[in-house]
Amino acid sequence: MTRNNKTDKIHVGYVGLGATGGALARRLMLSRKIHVFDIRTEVVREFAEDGALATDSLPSLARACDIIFICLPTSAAVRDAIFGEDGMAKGLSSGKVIIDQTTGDPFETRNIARDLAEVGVQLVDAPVSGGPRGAVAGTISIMCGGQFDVFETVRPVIELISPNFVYCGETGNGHGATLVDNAVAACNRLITYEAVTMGFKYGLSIDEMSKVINMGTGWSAASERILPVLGSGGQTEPFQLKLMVKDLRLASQIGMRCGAPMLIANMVRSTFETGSNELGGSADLDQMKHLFEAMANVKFTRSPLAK
Amino acid sequence: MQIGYVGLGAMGGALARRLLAERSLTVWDLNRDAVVALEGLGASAAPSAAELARRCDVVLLCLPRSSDVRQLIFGSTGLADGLAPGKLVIDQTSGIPGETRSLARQLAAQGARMIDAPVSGGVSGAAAGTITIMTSGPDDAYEQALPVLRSISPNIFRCGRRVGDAQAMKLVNNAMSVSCRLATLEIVAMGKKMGLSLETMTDVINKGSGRNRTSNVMLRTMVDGKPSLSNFALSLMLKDVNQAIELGMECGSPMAITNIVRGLLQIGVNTLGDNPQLEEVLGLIESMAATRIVEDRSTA
Repeated sequence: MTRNNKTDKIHVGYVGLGATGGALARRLMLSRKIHVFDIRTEVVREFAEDGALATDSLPSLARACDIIFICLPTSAAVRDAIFGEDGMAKGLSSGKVIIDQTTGDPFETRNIARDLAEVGVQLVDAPVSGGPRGAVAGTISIMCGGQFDVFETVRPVIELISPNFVYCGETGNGHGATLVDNAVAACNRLITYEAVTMGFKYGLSIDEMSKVINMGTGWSAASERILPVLGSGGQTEPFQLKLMVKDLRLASQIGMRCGAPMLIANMVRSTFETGSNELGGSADLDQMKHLFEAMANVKFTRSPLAK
Repeated sequence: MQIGYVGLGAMGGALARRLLAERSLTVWDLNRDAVVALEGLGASAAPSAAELARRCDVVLLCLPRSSDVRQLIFGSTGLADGLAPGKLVIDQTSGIPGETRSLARQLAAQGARMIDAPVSGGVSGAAAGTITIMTSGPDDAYEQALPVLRSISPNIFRCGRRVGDAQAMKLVNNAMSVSCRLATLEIVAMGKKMGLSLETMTDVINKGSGRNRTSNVMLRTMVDGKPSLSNFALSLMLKDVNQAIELGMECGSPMAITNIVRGLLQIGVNTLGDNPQLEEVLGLIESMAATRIVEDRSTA
């Protein structure tokens, strides 16, 4: 990989080694040494055993690195990791770049970028869509926002994660684009459950509906993954309901701030809120099928309901 | 006790006039015309918010948004400059509970108190002295506010000891009120389209289990061909419903129905022209159903 040569002298760090952040960091580790930090020391130890350079504090990671990736649950956590007590700020200096891969709040991201600019640090937002599996496979989609010249300087490193990136414009636009994509995916998932519940209760088999929908105009990335395993109780992507609710709340808030109605996405968000209340926030997305089963008083099986 | 009022818009102006009927009042507003109108009724004008706070023991305010309240209090020549220890701010804004709590905490650091006391009942209720006042805050601030609030209306409901709970109550009420309004209009549009007369539906609904304030006031007014007395910007109701939904998100309540209402109000704000009034959502509901609830709009 010729591009690697350009980035060899750049020191890269990764903060936040959760399901997504961890997978993205491992992807980087395939082509270079990286510094890593997470509040869970046992996770850092695992990464060190696999060849990463462990750091014991955020300021020391920030001092050691030119480019610092960060992937945390919320933008508030990102602000805290940068400007909070024992945050990165003490180790940051002019010319460094932070790449925020959190599924964050675009407005808060712009505020963080403004505060970082005061100390000469640039921020690029580069959240992802495609889940940990896509991250491992190197096929994950990355939506990038930030000043174009800054984006160009970090682009060779972003490419190490996946070649599927889109530059979306100013700071925060990567986060905005991800929330839009997420909202579409969430709506696709629930309409897939809802319509198939109706078909199942009417007497169609899930496997037949799966074939028809996935060859037809009802097809979506959600139907493609959900329907083949719905009857047999198989899993799609592990993703906690509380995180989905968080993402959809951010999308709703953007709608309110810019004055977009969001009728359907809000209905879907309310339904996920209900699911999170009834099934628990740490249940994963696939469990939402139980809500649709309960609401329609059916139980999905491979064979169609007897009429 | 010297009393001041800041924010002399449709609602704040009406509440200030009501106070002025019983007490001497100092006023301030960015809008000079609104100040002059109150001066004409005997109020004295302060040159700035800070100066009003220096002259008064109790300062009431009613602004469009909590962000305006923050600016008024802590902006340059803001109220905070004149709020000596022991003085009280009563926020009548339909504001954000958490934001008001945070303002109250900041004021407490300089020894000043703040409670919330939003109202429900419109300009006419304020003028008649019958408006509903919701208020919440700690005992000492509540006792200090009570005689002033009684000069506005005797209908005072204490909603809690925590600042902001009254504003939360107001959001609960407004989200419910506007959801009933849209549901009522939507269903009446269906009834009208399938052939029932507005008069029949209004009579029956108001004698039946579907009755509510919209059926009782708005539908009746339309049947009687009288002009509406309601005066409330659709954008302000949208703001209230948005704030109610934010409360739902904070505490994890789905709000499925309110969210749909929010979407429809947003469509109304986007499509009904320049600064539409709340009652103009009628036009949106009619257009969605391709029917007319009121045939002759000049009488509505």
